[in-house]
Amino acid sequence: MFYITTNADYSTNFKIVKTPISNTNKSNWEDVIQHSDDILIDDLELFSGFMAIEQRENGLVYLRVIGYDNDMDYFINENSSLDFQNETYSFSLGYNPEFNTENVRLSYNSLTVPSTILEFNTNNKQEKILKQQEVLGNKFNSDNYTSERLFAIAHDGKKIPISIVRHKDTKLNSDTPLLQYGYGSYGITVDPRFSSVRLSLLDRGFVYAIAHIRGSQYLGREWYEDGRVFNKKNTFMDFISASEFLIEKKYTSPDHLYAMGGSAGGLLMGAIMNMSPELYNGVISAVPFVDVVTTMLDESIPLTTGEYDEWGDPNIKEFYDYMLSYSPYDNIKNVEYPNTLVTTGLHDSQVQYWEPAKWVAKLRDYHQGDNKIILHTDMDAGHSGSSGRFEALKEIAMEYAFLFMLEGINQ
Amino acid sequence: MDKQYLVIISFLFIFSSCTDMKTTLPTPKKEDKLLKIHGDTRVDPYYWLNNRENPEVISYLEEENKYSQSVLKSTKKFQKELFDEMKGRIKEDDSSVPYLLNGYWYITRYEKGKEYPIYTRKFMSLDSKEEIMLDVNEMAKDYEYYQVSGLSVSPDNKKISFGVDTLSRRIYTINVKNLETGKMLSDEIKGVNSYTAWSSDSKTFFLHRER
Repeated sequence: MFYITTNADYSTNFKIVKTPISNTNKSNWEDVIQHSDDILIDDLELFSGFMAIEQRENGLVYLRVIGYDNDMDYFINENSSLDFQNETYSFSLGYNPEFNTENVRLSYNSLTVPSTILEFNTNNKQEKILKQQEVLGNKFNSDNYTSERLFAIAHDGKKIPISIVRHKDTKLNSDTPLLQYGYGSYGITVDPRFSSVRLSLLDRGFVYAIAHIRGSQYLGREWYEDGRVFNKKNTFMDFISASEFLIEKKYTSPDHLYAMGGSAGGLLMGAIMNMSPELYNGVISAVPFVDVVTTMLDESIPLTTGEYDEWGDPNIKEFYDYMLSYSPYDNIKNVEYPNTLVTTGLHDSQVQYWEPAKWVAKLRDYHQGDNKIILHTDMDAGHSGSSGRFEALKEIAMEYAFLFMLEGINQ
Repeated sequence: MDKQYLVIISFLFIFSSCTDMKTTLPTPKKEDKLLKIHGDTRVDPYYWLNNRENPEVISYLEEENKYSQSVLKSTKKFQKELFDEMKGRIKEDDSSVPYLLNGYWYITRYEKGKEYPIYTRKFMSLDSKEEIMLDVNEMAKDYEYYQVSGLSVSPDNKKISFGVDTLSRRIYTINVKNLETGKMLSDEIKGVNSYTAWSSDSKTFFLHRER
């Protein structure tokens, strides 16, 4: 029997069908899991006695176990000691190459709980933690951090989820520094994940927020469709709405609000800087895709069909006009831009180094005021920065130091 | 005459030390390029920057690096402290949870002080002798950037295929290593994605090229 995850028959969020190996013609497909407007099928893993489905509802992941003969059907979330009450967790199927087993490997972490790999016995519903990421230094304690999920209201009334974490001693008021991160393209969802590196920010009083803006699939496939091609500006406006919400709720203020994003998230940074420069004291834009129209018209750059699906084809006037209306490089104006750190790699092939280089040069031509706009080019690396696990930390240390410098924090 | 010469030298010295202290904003040249399509014209003064081979481009990027370093100068020591702090939280000699596939337990591990992973396996039991498939630290020795991905062992367990990117361009060269002899096969496939899928004959694999 073949099991197929498909978006056929307008199953935007996908459905699961089965068909005999001997006859895979669509007319033989039989629904196993029907399509739902509210539930996105993220992943499916088949075992000899059951299947495990990773699905996302209202932004949160649930792992469902279903027997082939309908002899079982339950959620692992409801049979686990892990914390699913706090809405800032990440949960997924692990690597499960063994077919003949009743044990499923899972991966769990949250904004406050380090990466945990566990094995769940689908028969007796017992779980076993195989490994939890160690945070060395005898200082880390999950209980010292607090996380929550909030919802901002978008320009068109949609609710934009925001995952937030801070040290529990960090007081929230208009003097609190807050770093807001976003991506919002290609349907890629930035899950609220643990980061030991991020502790350096949190321990110095920064709040960290992830805006789950349109263009990701946090709220299902429709959330993505609402943030691509002719809906692309929703991605940028959602990020700004999230910022305005956090300012209004006194989590921070424009003097202490920082934004960060890379690659297509770097385009997001460029767009919000043109649309609402006054909201941010600083922006970190890594390997940013900021010269959208020129790049998408450049036949010498290896673009994929995925790029046209995401942004549109500027060889067609309709797309050209829309893309031109937000392309960061084409919309620079005479305003006071936030302090900005831009990073790139000379050998980057995903976003060529010249996009950020041109952008920085042109930003300075129009920029009013004394805020610093700086460009750091790694002359040896490309889109992913350094390849070594420690070497990469040097870049993050530079980015954090930039933020701390703007906050007058020097130790 | 000599005196005048000295004055000029000392003046130059003062001037250069001043620029050192307070690096000036780089001012790249402008060379308007007209980009025309759909009856619309855009003017791009910095289009010329799109050539890596142009020494002027490289020197401009280096000037920008100098400038950003000067802006961040006061944070230099702090950056080092932050780096040490972040590194200090990471378990340096870490290893992955083993998984069993086709008779072998696979484990990826890191050694203290080393930047890259070591891919290993053990036959049948976790107590068996460790077999190192790839030590990326060794492979990366002569490179500024080195990334291995898409590791895939053949169904007969005798070969491993993997993609290597040495420029962070996400364009890979596929290599195959004979796990019995430890030797790399001389064939390689350039300019593709790193992921391969072995056919059941263990002689053929499928791969993926963007265009």
